[in-house]
Amino acid sequence: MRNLILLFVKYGNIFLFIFLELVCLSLVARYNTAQNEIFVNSANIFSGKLYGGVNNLKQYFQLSAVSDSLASENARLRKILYNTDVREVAQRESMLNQDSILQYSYITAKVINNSINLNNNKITLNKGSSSGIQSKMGVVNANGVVGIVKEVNDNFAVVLSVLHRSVRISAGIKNKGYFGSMQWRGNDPTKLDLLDVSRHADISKGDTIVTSGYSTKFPSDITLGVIDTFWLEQGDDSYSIQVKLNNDISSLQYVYVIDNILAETQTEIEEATENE
Amino acid sequence: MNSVSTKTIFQFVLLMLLQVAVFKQFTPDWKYAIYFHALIYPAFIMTLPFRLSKISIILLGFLFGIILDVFYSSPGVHASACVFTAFIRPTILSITKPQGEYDILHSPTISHYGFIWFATYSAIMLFAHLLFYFSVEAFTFVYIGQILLKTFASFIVSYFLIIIFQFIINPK
Repeated sequence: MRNLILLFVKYGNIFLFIFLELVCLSLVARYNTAQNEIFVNSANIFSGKLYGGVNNLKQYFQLSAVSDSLASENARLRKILYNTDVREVAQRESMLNQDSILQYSYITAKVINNSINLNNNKITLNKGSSSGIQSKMGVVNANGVVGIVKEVNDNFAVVLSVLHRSVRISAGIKNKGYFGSMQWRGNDPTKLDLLDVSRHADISKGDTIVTSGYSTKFPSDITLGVIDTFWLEQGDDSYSIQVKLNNDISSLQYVYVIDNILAETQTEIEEATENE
Repeated sequence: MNSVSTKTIFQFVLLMLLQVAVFKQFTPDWKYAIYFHALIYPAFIMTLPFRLSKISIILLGFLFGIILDVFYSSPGVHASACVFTAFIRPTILSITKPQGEYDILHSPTISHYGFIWFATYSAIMLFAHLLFYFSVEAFTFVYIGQILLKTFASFIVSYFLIIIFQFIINPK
């Protein structure tokens, strides 16, 4: 304490000088228009840089979330890729006349309009026929099936989401081979019905429902959801199954539109036999 | 109160009035007039008695400057220059120390230590004061050319005034 007082006695004039200068300069900066502008401008330059830095930092933190989701999707795709290799070989062998071994290609698009609370929900995408999107193509994202393209113009595409009552998706129970048709009955946007699964099928709660690959719109084994509840009504010869949708349709951002190169050929031959 | 304090108060008021009522009003109709600021008041800080402590000199400088700022409606500009000048005064005094010591009962005036000494001492003090004043007025060193130009131009006028004032107020 004594030393502190001595310090003040010895250097008091310096402290006083610094203190009064700070008082004066703050007065100058506050009350004189010209100096005030200079001060404010310098402050703006400083704060602008600070804000810029903060934004960069923010983006950086968001990037980590984005890269997490990308990494998990990468892992998923890699898994599919390794599994696909085998299948592609098989397909190639069965389609000797095809030059292409690539059956499906994907077009990325951004969701620009979406709804989940209507009876028939539609999604608008920011790409259209100029990007190669055509009617009846399937739409998926990392979490599973999104819907089926209905209308297309040059720059936009309207997708009937899985939450549209006229959409039917050919679905099967993973690793069990039973198949049926998925349909939305309205009401709950997280639940879909799986129809036409034979009463002889051996199913249980928690079974994963995937696309069957029978239709031209989706490849097989794209996740749809898991069995939530199922029951067998008297006299029916098929189960009533409620499926919990894996995809959160309300939070769609980017989706992939599936272009099935063989779709036309498949439909052609199927239609040829239709009249038999 | 003794005669030194009375004299200090008298100089305080007199220099304030001279600065505000005379030299502030004196604006010749000449396009370079903005460079020539006639600042006589630093003489007040220069000639404060030796026996005042460093701290009371700084406080007196601040008080003088802040009152002057009220008249100039430039809060802080003159005050900061006065505080600066008051702060460096002991250093300048020791640099310009004449033959023999300063007499603690005196003030650093022309009548006690002679014209040559006062001319040197007041030149350093005034130049420091003006440079600081115009720097704070500009509030940035971007206009260093302008600051120096104003400092030199105003120095000529103010220096002349301060010397004259010393001869009048402290006759031998």
